[in-house]
Amino acid sequence: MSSLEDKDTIQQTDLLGRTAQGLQRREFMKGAGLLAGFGHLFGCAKKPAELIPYVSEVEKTTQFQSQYYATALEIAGHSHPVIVKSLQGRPIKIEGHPLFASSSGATSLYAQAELYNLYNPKRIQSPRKKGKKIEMAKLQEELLLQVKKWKKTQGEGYALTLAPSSSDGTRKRVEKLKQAYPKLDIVTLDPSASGDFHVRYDLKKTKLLIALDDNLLSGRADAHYYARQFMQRRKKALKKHDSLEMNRLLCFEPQLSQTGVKADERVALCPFEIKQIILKLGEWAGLNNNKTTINKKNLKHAQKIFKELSQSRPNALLTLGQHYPLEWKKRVWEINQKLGFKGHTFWPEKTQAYQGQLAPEDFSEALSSGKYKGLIDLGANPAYLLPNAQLKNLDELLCFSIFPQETTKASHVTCPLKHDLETWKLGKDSLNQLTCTQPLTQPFFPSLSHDEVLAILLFEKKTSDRKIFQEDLSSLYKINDVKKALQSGKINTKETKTSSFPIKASWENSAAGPALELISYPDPSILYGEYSHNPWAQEIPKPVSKITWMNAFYLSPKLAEKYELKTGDYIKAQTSYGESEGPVSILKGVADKTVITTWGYGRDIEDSEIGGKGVNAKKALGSSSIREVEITPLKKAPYQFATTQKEFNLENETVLERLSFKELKKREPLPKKSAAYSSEEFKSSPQWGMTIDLTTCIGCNACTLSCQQENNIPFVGEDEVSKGREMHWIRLDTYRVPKFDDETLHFQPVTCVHCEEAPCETVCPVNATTHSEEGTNQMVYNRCIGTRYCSNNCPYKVRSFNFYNYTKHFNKNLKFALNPDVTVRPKGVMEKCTYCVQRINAHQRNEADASRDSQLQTACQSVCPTQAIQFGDLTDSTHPVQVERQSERYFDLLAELGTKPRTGYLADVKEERE
Amino acid sequence: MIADKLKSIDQELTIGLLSPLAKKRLNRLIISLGVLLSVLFISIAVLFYRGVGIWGINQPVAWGFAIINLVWWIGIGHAGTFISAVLLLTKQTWRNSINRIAEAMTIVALLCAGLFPLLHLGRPWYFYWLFPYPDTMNLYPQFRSPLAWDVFAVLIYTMISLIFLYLGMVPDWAVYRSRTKSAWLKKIIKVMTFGWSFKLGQWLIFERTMFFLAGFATVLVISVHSIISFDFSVGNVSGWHSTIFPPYFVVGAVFSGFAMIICLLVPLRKYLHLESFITEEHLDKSAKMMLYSGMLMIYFYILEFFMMSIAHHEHEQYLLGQRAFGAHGVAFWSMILFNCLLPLTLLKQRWRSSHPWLVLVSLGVLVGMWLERYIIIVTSLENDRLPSVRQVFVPTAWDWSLFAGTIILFIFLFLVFIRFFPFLPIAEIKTWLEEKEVEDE
Repeated sequence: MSSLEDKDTIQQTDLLGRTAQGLQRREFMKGAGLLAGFGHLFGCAKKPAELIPYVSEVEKTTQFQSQYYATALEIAGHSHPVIVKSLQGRPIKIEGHPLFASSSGATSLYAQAELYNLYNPKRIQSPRKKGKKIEMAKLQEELLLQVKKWKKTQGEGYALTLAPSSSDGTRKRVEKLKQAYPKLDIVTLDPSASGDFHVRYDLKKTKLLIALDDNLLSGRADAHYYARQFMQRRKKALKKHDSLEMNRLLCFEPQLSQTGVKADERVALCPFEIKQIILKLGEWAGLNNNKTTINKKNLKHAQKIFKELSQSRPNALLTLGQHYPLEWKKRVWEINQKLGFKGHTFWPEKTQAYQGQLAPEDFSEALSSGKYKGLIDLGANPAYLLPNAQLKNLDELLCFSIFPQETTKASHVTCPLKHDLETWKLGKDSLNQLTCTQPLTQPFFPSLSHDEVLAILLFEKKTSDRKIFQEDLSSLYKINDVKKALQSGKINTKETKTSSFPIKASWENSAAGPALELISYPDPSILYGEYSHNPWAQEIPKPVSKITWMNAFYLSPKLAEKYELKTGDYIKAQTSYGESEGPVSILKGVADKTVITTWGYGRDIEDSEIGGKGVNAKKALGSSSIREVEITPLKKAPYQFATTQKEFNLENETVLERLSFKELKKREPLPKKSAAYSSEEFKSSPQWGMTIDLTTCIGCNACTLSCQQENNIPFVGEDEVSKGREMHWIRLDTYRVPKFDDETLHFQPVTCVHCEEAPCETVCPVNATTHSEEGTNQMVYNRCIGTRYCSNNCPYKVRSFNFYNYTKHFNKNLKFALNPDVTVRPKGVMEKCTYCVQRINAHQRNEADASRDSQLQTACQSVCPTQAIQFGDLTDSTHPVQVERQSERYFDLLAELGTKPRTGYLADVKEERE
Repeated sequence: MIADKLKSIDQELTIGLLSPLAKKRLNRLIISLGVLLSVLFISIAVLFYRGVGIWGINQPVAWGFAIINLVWWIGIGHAGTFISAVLLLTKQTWRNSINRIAEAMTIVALLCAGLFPLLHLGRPWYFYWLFPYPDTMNLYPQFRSPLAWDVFAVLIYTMISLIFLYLGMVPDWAVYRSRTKSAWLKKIIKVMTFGWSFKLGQWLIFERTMFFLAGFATVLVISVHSIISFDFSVGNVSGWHSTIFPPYFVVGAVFSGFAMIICLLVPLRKYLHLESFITEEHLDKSAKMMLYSGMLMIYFYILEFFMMSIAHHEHEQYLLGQRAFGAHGVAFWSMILFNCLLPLTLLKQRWRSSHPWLVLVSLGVLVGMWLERYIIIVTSLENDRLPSVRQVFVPTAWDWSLFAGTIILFIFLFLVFIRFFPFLPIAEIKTWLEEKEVEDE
């Protein structure tokens, strides 16, 4: 065995810039150890590939110390820059990348869920032809055979479907393919159907934000960036009581989105009414001359919007949801431009869509007409995204996918795709920043990446993703210091800005709107179905409806009454495109003339957990998001949703405080807060405490999943959730406070508040839950005998109990994802939030990696996009957590019980106007 | 006349209480119940194998049937101690013929109750951590926890009840020794009875001991259920956190205990022809005790609801509404019917002397008292202060099967006692008979 000879070979580089140098044998041993679970498959690999994990000891490190690598994960066509914690070659935690504005150290729920996807036992584990396992070499032959056929006809009669990609290199290769085979049909199937037009906002400058059916704070790839911008401005205003600084958010939308929950004023409107308002606004802005007919109620809304926008000129912004047709989006930007907001609060951005591609609908028709002999699907899943297309007519269907899905079911040859944590690639984040993806581990299975497949199709010499990465980096971006790029994960490239909109659209205006419209949105937990196979994501309750493992048709109570429907009843939704079936969930706040649903469910997969469950909105909507619909109730036994919250009305005043901005200004700074950490018992330093800001919490649930990953919290499955046994240590409570108004919801993340006078501690007969000198409420798992008295006595009900051996899932691949610093809890044991005591201890041992920001952060805090969670030492009066504790917005949860919680809340402040 | 009757009673006592036919019947019943006991064993085996998740408990209702059944069974045991101890202290001689049955019921009920704290644990194999044993790591139970108090309360109660039952049987065992012909048995019984030989001195010590134990047990009648009630009243759950709980629970326990006594006495009397020992007077007095404690319960209910309705925390009022009209409203109103209204019919002599009605009312009380615990435990936990965590409790088949299993175990063990042990205190009855005779003459 020899050490590597090729000096130019790029290697995995961690944040300290350490790369691995060592023997192939050792590297093999490490890989083999990691892949113990897949040993039988590992035998198939010819050589341990080029990925070289860190082997020889670098100064100040030990084998058991974790390393942090900057990389990026591609989710629905956007790269998400992240930093991954890796221990002995196993990625175990995903954090945001602080150097990227799109992340600022935070991540979405989906990026967190990616870790599970890496270890997911449901992944396709080997290439298969007609159900039989084949060698990788054989698969490559199959691919080349296809290409030879393409050559004969210049690609005529063949098609290639692609998942959206942010990579310039991929784009380059796709364009090359198109040049080589001009008659080959190439289709990018973007489930979000929003990619071709891009505008960047500056919410720091925006004083008034009016969102027309736009879930700006949560429902899109760049949502976190905007949520942070918006909330930072609001937080500053609240701190200074500065009404000039205070921003205002109005929301007009059919669904009750997270943005709607955070809005200062929200009106439920159906898409047709929103379009009418846009036309009216356009008329007033001088864009279209023809008079718009509009009813009185909507005229009032339009007047209000126009008046407020004009008053806040030029620091205002009107946005429309990405799922609206292009001409409507363009119209909204014209209005913005006319009102003079351009350059202040937004600017258009050039997007680089693939040229010369077929539209999905045309492709669907062509497929059904039998135009194609062969199709290669590169992770796009046309069988699901184009439900009307017939794949049966194809002679050959080659499908690449990470998970078994509808297209793999119909395919003749399937091949696993590499997970992003196993891949080298380049991408762009939602703000068009270049990102580098470097693998954290060897591929678990014989698999290919997108780029590798394209390179094979192009007969390129270098077909390994590592070499493609290296070549792209130097040829596309002229970057040769690969090590530096990999170390920070960030490469500064020039931003492309354009200044004009390509606008021209014709307008139709009908007075009578459709009777009922069906709208679908990205699912708050599984997006477009990307995370269907991911139990972590599936078990995350939807922020508003609290349903897990399912979606539904959401109806307003009024509409439900009209059709005599109850939650759980099945309906059929019939549109001009098709029909889909599913149970309804009645939700206050949904617009009356709409039926709301989400993408990603109703999968046609043979899988007991996800197959056939929920509404497949694609069947009724196709690639459009909004269609006129007719619904008919079906006679079926009602579905029992597994919801984590049943009651939303809050009568108790000490649970949640809500203030208007005016009230806040009038509020006297409260007298010195409770006796927290002041009593004799807690004299030493540090004393840990946390604050959660209800104003800035957008209910994205990233904290829940980050905590689940960090603390080895098991998922329990739909049945157990419906019994009320979900294990999440931090949950998101959603309340409606009838005292204030009947419509507005409030988010409240609740986790163990670490009471100084903890009711749980005094009732445990075996002393399994105790108090530390640093003020944290500890749980001694191996002393716990499971009387569950602590849970009864906990007023916040933040303790979760292992009713069964839930950790049995860990025995499969997931055991590699476990955090070795946290005990895995057995059956019959109580567990709860520990304030990430393992992080506190690591911090105190000064073991925190020097390259990381040594600031101590809990898992929930670090991923929060709006920094709603603060954590730290209460004895440090300058620490943000102590500063927030002194705020006049501060309150204790259920203060009347005298538990003296260490985690406090900051009141939800709304900018209300009469 | 009376003398004749007394003589026949005396004879019955000396020759044997159970006729061969009764013995045969009992044997058959015991065997079939023994087979049925598999319900209990299967329930326990599955529970240990899979975990407490097989029950309907959840978050926030972390306590369910196990704790309800524990409280219910211990409560039932109370009447036995009440009859044997409190009535002995107050020299209520009518108790003499039924006190052994009552004591046996106590022990058997305690055995059933004792299962639950064990089975209820998430990790039952570590139950011994509840005891203060010298641990190498210096770990002790936490004495601030009412559950740690429970361990001592229930264990002491079981111990005293056992000693009481056993010592009371000593003279009767000795009678058996004098009757049996086997030399071995004679020896064994001699050891078992501490060499009892009917000497006057022994009788004196015996009476004094029993009197002392009765005093001790009387304290326990009050303390045990008070401590059980602390499990709830010490907690901060709305609906639990109430100062009336200790007397409320003690009276409730005696109430359900007398109901159980009646349910056992009436069929025993009928099918084993014990009319001369278990007289109308016994049943009447038991019914009166049940009526009396039932009326106290009405008072406690009113007090509890009143306190909840004027509580400072509005959540208590919400909870009260939920109890009456929420998911378990049926249970609430059934409880009112069974515990308050039906027992009041016993105010009338005619109703009281009808045995079927008496048994029916007693069964109602047993159900009602079980429902009372169900309402206290389940509805209080279900309707948490935070609306977000509220969750309805739905018992599963395993919840019911374990409960049914303990009922089978109760009847089984009780019948075993009747079949193989002196279930009437021969010595005490004879003493009483002689006193009666002297009086008559």
